[in-house]
Amino acid sequence: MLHLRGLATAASSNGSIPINLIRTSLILSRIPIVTPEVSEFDAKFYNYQEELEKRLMWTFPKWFYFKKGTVAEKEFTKIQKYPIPAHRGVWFPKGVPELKHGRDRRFKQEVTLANKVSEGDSQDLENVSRPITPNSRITEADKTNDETSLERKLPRTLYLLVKQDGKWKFPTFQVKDDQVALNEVAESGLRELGGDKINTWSVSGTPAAVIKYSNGEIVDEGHEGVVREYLMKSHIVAGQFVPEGLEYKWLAKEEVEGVVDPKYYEKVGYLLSN
Amino acid sequence: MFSRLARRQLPAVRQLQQARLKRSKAGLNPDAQRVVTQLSVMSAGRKMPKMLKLCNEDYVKHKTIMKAWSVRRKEQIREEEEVLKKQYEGMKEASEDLKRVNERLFELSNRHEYGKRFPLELRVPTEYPARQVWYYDYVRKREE
Amino acid sequence: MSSVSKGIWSNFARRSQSLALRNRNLQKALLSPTLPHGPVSLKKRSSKDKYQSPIGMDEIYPLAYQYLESQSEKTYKKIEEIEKQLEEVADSTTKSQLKDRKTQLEVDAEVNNPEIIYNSLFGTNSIDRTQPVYRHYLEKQWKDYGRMLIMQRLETLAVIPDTLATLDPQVDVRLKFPGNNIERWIEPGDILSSNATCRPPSLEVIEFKESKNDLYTVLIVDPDTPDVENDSFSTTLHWGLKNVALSNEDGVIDAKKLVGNPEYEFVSYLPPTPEKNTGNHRIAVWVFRQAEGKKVDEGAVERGSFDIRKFAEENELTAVGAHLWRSVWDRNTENVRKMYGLGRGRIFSRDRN
Repeated sequence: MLHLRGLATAASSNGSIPINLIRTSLILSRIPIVTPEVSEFDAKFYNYQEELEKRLMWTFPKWFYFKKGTVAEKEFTKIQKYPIPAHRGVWFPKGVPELKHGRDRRFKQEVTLANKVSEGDSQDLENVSRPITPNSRITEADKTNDETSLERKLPRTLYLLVKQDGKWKFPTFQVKDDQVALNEVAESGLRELGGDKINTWSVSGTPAAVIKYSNGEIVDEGHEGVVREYLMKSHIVAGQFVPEGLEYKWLAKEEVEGVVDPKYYEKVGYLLSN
Repeated sequence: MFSRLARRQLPAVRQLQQARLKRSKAGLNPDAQRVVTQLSVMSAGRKMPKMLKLCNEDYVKHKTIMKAWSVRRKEQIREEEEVLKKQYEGMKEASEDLKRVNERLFELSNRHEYGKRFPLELRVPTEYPARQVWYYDYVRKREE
Repeated sequence: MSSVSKGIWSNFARRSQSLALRNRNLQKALLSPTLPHGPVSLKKRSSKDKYQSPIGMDEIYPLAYQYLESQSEKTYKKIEEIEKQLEEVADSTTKSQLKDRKTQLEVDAEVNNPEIIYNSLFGTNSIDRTQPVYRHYLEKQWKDYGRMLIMQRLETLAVIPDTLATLDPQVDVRLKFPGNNIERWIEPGDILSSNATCRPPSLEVIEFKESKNDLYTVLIVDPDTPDVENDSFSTTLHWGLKNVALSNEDGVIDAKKLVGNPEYEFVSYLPPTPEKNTGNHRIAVWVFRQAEGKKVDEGAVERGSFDIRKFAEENELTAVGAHLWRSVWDRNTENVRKMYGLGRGRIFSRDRN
């Protein structure tokens, strides 16, 4: 007897739909590896806010951080660019400077820090004090537009699409008996397709959406003999998908839209993240 | 007469000057200096920047910028909520459908997964990628 | 120098010309990323030279402007749809609903336009009150200060309930006495010399809803007239105007208008001349909006012992706005009495005989 009540709450009669009409699809995603791209508007707005904040910031209390007469204090003082102080008999067309603690109170303060360049080759991993050069956010796969690579489009979520029955779609598997959960069917099916050198993390056992087919066409309402595809979500953690004799692609949301059937996208588009 | 007088007064003058010179050269004693430094650290007036006064045009421009930002943000939040709502509806529809189609599979899908944890291997997005972008050489653990 | 506006906000084919800034240099400043003519609104030469815009503003401002402008274009599309619906619909209730919706959208479409914001922040005296968006800003300003002020004065000086029971202010009433040395808008509750108030005031009634030919009644009453027989006070009617037609464009009631329309005045102006030792007299100005299409037809009205509540009830008047000032006996009172032929006023003292 079933006592579990999950998302589905409506009471129902026991199903009598043959198991060969149930399939399960896996939305396998690669989560972003680097932070998202900042839009032009956001970047400029943040810059404006940062400049306002700098303008309204209190003067850097040098005496708090540097003891008077120490070498550090002298070095710090030496590299600062102090503004020109007000002087009797000098005309300042942009207004008389108002210096307090070596800062013109009318403007933001520029604090220069000693830029100690570390020596050595940045690729020399033995050298602990090697200079830091960040890696490029654009990878080799981006340049060659290798759609089968997991290293493309680092700031985006990528989804695995395969070509099954001449159509691009999420990998879909037939459910054979009702003793195995849908996500487990999908995960094991994925390994049969692309080898077991892959580590995935199944989000949940409950399906994220359902697509109904009648005679190969996507329909909204279920009639007799309708094939159901339950979409399960999963993330790839490590390893790779290397199928034999099967086309596959790792695509971002808008690329998925360009490749799959428009009707199919209508059913799955909202499940994909930007 | 004058020179004699001046000569007579000279040592006293020199003494006074020397004393003043000495005082200014030595500066404050360390305790007093510490008090001055601490007061300087605490005093707000000397460290605060001048008040930011915008002319009317720039004030209106500033208002426009902030308004555009908030309208944009509101719109983004609205879109996100819409997508979340759709996703919830999709889950609900699929679950109800599964329950109708096959109760056994529905039961399995809602079974509690004991000890399920978020995988530590999933990395948090960083500003720049690591030297090795993706870990390919994964070997499945031998099951006992 | 190219303008940051590339859309609806620089297109005056269907938008009113009053939605733009009149000063060309100011307009150019708001439509450019930087200030091409320097800070125009600053008057002093030295402050102009000293002024510097915040860093980074010139980069973000065009984007912000264009974003808000594109939002506004969407709103204008909605307005067009409503206009189409208005042509088709015949039912009067849906029609009025659609009209309200349209006015609301007209406000939404222009409320973030920098030129509108500039006008409503810094040019409140000369803005076009036929535009819903300007009325929106005026109402906001009034609700933030003017409405609270008048209600506070009416209640603390007990004009409510001494004259009318209560008031739900809907219009801003402004009052001044022209032709003397204190020609300025009077703050509610000010004590004015009887010399200053010896000629009728000019009023301005600012409506925040759309108003084309509404009729108004204005009554000025003094509830502090001593009534010795009953050992009490009575109300005197100092001025009565009826069927005054006002609109959004023209909300002024002044001498010029009254000369042109002598039928407005049904009780002529009697200046407040308090008698000696009667304290401060509250002079309350009540503005009533008449029911649509209904004219007040009042015959002879007695000035003394005037019952304002009864008058309002009989003529189906709803009070929409008020103003008040106070008057006290001073050196000028006798002159004003002589001017109006009122004779010498009484002098009250502690002992009654």
